Amino acid sequence: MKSISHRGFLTPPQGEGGAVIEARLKKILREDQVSPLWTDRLSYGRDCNSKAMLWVRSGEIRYPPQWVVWPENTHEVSAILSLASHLRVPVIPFGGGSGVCGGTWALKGGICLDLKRMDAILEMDTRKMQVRVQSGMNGEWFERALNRRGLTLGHFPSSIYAATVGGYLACRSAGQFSSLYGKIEDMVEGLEVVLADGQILRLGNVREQPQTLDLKEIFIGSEGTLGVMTEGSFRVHPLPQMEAYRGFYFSNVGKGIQAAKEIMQRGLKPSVLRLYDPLDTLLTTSHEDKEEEGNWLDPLFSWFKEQSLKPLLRNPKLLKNLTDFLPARCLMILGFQGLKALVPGKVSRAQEICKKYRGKDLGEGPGLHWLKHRYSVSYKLSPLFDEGFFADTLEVATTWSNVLKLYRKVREVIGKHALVLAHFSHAYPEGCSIYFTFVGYRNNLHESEKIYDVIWRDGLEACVAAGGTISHHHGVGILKAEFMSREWGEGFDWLYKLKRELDPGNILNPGKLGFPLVWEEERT
Amino acid sequence: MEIDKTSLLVTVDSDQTISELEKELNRQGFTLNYLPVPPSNILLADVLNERQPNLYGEVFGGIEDLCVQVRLAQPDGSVWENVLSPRSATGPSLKKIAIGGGESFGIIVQATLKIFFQPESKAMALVRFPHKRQEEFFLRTLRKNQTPVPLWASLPREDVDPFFESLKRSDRVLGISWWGETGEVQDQYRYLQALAVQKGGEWYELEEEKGQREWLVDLQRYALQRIQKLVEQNEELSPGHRKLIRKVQSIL
Repeated sequence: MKSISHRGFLTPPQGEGGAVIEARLKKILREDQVSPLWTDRLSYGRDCNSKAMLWVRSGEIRYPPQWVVWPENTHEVSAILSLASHLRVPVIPFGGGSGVCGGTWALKGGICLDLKRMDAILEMDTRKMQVRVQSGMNGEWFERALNRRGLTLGHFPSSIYAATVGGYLACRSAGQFSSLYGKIEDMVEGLEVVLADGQILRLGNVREQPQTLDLKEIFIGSEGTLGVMTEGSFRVHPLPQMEAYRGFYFSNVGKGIQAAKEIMQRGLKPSVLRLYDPLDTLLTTSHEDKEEEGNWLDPLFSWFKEQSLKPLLRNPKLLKNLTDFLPARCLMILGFQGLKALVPGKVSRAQEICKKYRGKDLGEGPGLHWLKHRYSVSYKLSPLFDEGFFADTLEVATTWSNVLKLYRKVREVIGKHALVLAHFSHAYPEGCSIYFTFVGYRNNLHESEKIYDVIWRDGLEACVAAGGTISHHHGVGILKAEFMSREWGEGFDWLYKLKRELDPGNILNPGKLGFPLVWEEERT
Repeated sequence: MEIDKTSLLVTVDSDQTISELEKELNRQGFTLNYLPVPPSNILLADVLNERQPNLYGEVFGGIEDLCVQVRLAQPDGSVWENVLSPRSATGPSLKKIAIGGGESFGIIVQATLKIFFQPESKAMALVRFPHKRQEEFFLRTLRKNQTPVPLWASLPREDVDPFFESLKRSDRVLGISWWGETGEVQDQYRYLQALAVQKGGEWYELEEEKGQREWLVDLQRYALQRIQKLVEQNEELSPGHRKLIRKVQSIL
């Protein structure tokens, strides 16, 4: 195994300054709540971003924090932020570390604020159907606790086993059943936020209060750059009485999109609607008849492992020409949840719509297979990296009238450098998200990193040019930071001023979300 | 006014009234599914600046959910707009901050709103519950099961009497209305009726179109009063909350 080291400008916590900060932290927290140890710092120096995975496999952790702290209540978070503001030490809030955009990299070192010890359910009101929970609560544990009371949050991101509620909020996460339950921002009723100066704020629901600025919207999606969210109140739902799944084949992407659009616009509200493009369909269905555990990445992985694709992946143009000869059929998976009285009617109306667009009904098999393996994909990328490949996902979104244009443009530019497949999911009446997956291979880290950066730059450029949003639910982090001002336009100036107002010392997760690592006047 | 019939969106200048916009959309086979609390001739700009609640909000969402994009004119002549997308995860939501923010973030000159097909069918029913608690329980069950009705109100006896002699026994009667595709409306009808009876209610249907129209107006009137009451009952914001609002608004 290669040894892991830090690289670059980061200085380990040495000298008088470091000692003072550590001593002050230990005054606020117990000894076991503060760690300056390399083992901890290295563990927190990365997330699940693909580039970070490449670095780890090359023996590098580039952005470790200088301390890791584990506060146990909001007052401790407040005291830490107050201290950090006073001493101008960066603070990087940390949940499950399952983000994929480099949002928790400690670009300037500082304190990693791991909130996982703040994981209590504080209130469960089954009358109002609201639950108040601390932000360090793990997604799966939260869901299980709700299930025991006959409830569900309805939020099932593929990172659910690792992610925390705070992480959901920080990056405006979406779950796989978002077409029915919405994204996390649709579920939030209230927030507790700690500002950079340590001030604790409780923000309630102002939906029914006209002429009142909804401050929650400032912090949801702010990725720890404007405040630290320590608690959230969420709307919950009863567990569904029944679920039903169907699979359909369409002759091409266009037909599938027409059917998907009509299903959403006729108000059928499926819990799941996923349409795979031809290559994604091929890989998804190649595993369906087998009994063993697995998902679509398994055949891809076996294929790669045999090295047969490595030469091809070095020549993406040739690969693209080959994939163009694939059968054009596209798989759609549809799922419905809810009351026994209503679900069968919705299924039959969806079947009618699919039939109208010549969809071939495959029964419930493909849907049930997807359901069984729906979280596996996030944990199957790692072996690809072990074999020297790199892979990542890009999730964009747009309206139905623009969706094919966006799909073609982004696919075209990424396809020049890597194998690219996509599916359409998180559908709404007015549009949907497109989830691109790309896989590439180069001989060494340097080459891989170079091409990886080119893919992201060209992919996001194509997305902006085609009028899509650069992120539907992964967030921005450092990965898409350069494109923030492109998407926001002149409105980004306001966001920048807001950052300066709320965090004048630039201590909160500096360098993320398009904000500078250092204020301009301090760059010398 | 520009309608994107593929994405079911309408882009419109904010100096239009909601009623004009709704009429024009109706002519083209669409509806906003939005009825603001002060319903008469309110401008879209005011609805957005004030985040006026939607009478049908339980099913279709508030104006902040129905609005997909806002264009904000700034004093320096520049125009801000959020990306036209059903959702995004690129930081805070400029749109949701601007809606309800007064004019602190600029003047909303144009907005893109979701539109819906005009419903194939509408249904309406009256339910008499012996006790108020049963009525509340019925409504709560609907909300819990994600099958709320877009329009409901508790109606006083004097308004109900002329239609149903038998309802004279009650102080109040729950009026409900829902709409959509015929098949769905019928499925919901069966479900709502069974649930109402299960919770101890007596179900009265309103089939006559003329009767329904008149009732709908009453139902809207009482539903509006209910929302108005809710708005008035709102809790005061905390001093910290107010301070931060002032800070955020002062940035511009």
